[in-house]
Amino acid sequence: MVQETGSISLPQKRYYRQRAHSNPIADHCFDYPAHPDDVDWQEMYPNITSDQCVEFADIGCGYGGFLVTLGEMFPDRFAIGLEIRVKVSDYVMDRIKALRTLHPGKYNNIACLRTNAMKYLPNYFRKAQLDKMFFLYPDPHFKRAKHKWRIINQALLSEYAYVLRKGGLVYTMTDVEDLHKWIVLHMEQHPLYERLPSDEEKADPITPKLYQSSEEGAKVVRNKGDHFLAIFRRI
Amino acid sequence: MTTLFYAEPELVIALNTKVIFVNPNDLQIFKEIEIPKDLTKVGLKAPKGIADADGEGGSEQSKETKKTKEVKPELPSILHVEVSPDHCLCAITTAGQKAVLLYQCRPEHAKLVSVRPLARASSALTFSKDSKVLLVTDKSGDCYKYDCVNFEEEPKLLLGHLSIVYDVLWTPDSKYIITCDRDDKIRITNYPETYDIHGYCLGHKEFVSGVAFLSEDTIVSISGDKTLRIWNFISGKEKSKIDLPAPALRLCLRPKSENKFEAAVLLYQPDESVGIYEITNSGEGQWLIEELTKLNYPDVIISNICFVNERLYATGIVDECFSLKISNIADSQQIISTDWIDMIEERFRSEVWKPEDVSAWFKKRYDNVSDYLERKKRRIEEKQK
Repeated sequence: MVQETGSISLPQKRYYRQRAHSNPIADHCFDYPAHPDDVDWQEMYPNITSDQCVEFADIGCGYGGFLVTLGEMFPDRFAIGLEIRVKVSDYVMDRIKALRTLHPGKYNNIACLRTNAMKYLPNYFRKAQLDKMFFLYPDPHFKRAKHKWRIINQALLSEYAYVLRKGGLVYTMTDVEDLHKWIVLHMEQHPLYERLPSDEEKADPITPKLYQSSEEGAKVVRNKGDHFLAIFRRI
Repeated sequence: MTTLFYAEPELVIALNTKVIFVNPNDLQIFKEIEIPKDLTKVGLKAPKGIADADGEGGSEQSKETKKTKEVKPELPSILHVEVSPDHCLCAITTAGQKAVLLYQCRPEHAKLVSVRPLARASSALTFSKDSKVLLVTDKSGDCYKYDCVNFEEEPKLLLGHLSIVYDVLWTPDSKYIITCDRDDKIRITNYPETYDIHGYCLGHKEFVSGVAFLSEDTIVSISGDKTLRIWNFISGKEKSKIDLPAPALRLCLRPKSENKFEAAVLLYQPDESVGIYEITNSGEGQWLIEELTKLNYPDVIISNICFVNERLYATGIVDECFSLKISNIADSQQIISTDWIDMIEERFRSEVWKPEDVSAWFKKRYDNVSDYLERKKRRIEEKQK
């Protein structure tokens, strides 16, 4: 990989802009492990030991704003951001590198992977490995014909349930009300998830961070749009 | 598309619009099915039940249904055929007018009893052991359940992959559905709780084109990565593996003795396009795989293979025409009747049949990374000057 050498400043987003959509069904140029045993986690997390594993996954992590927050909130746990877009995932990787250089000893618990989360989750994570999954401001794919491209759909919810442990949580946030309704409908129809009551949603220490720290979210705040949060428990 | 399989005592061969059930040992044709030319005349309706399956309601839905209400007057042609374990039903899926047809074969002589819509072109079929349910997988990776007791019941979506499912198995106790896809995966799904994935058998590095049972907890799989592998599908552990001379497209298996199987593998290469392998259970979960022989089919594009006892039957294409080949596997040099082959080929003489483009099964690796990294490198160098 090419690295921004000779500078320890954070990478500039203007070099990494990319259109918001990517076809998740098509073939891409991905190197993915055939089996979770084949993943070299130490390459991504310099301090991870063999009895530790990634427990948080930010699916479609975008420019990584929330991932960084997550790393700060839970310094003892490992979080991964998955992003399909080439430039955007590269930005997050460079950002984490720069953060590690600027703050020695910190940010060693976050990493970003360029992959297609709709296809390759079982290639990276074992059954019941994950404790929390985040779907923040996912691509709404408004057209009905592209609903199969949505990151939350009936078939994929079973795959997420497979990598999540019982009691694990799924956080969803969007500024598109129709998508929010779709997510809630499908999650509640799925027998392996239940929605948290709103007082539990409010009490979760992560909840305020979801409103604050996603950069996509920050834009919505400027536009005075509404946020729609829903948290579900893997039964 | 052609279908070829042996449901003792019948060898079943299908092409375009015709299915024949024939005795492999003499010139007797048990029965023949010619599918109707217009399935709407026998009750095919628009697939509204299937469109509903993604759970979306509302006005958008009804608009969609209206659009698809008129079934195109395209001629149906056969995609896949399967006979139920009790031999009472024959299931046929069609393209053109997409449908799942059920024919009652006993006591009737192939009577059409059910015509139900099919959402997308099918990719594989299997019956439950009790013959009461049919599973149909399709090109987009979905797996539907068709009730075979209540013929009117609408198909139900059970599970979905993100790419075409090439083969499907259902354990005899009905507890697990096993599906394999173009994204290198073998998935084990609980049944009837199909929303709950039991596990995966992971290790293949290209499409998984076929799976078959070796025992109650063991399967064999073949793949475009040029391997044949044996798995304990309950634990997801790979038990054994052998390299193949070419990517594998189809698999058929026959038990040889208590602990021995013979596997025929259709290979993606000209001439020597079938490999024969012996799989032996040496006890305590140990499996040995050995190549026995390769079969040579010069000038024929083989598309289907099946065992009939110690012989391997293969259907293929010569100049867009149907061709049947029979090979002796064992040393017994039984005489193969050319009259019999002529009789079968005659049945399909008028059919035009174009080979499937198998190269589309392989993943296209288009590189959208190197260019970007090159530009980035230049940008950084520029800055450092």
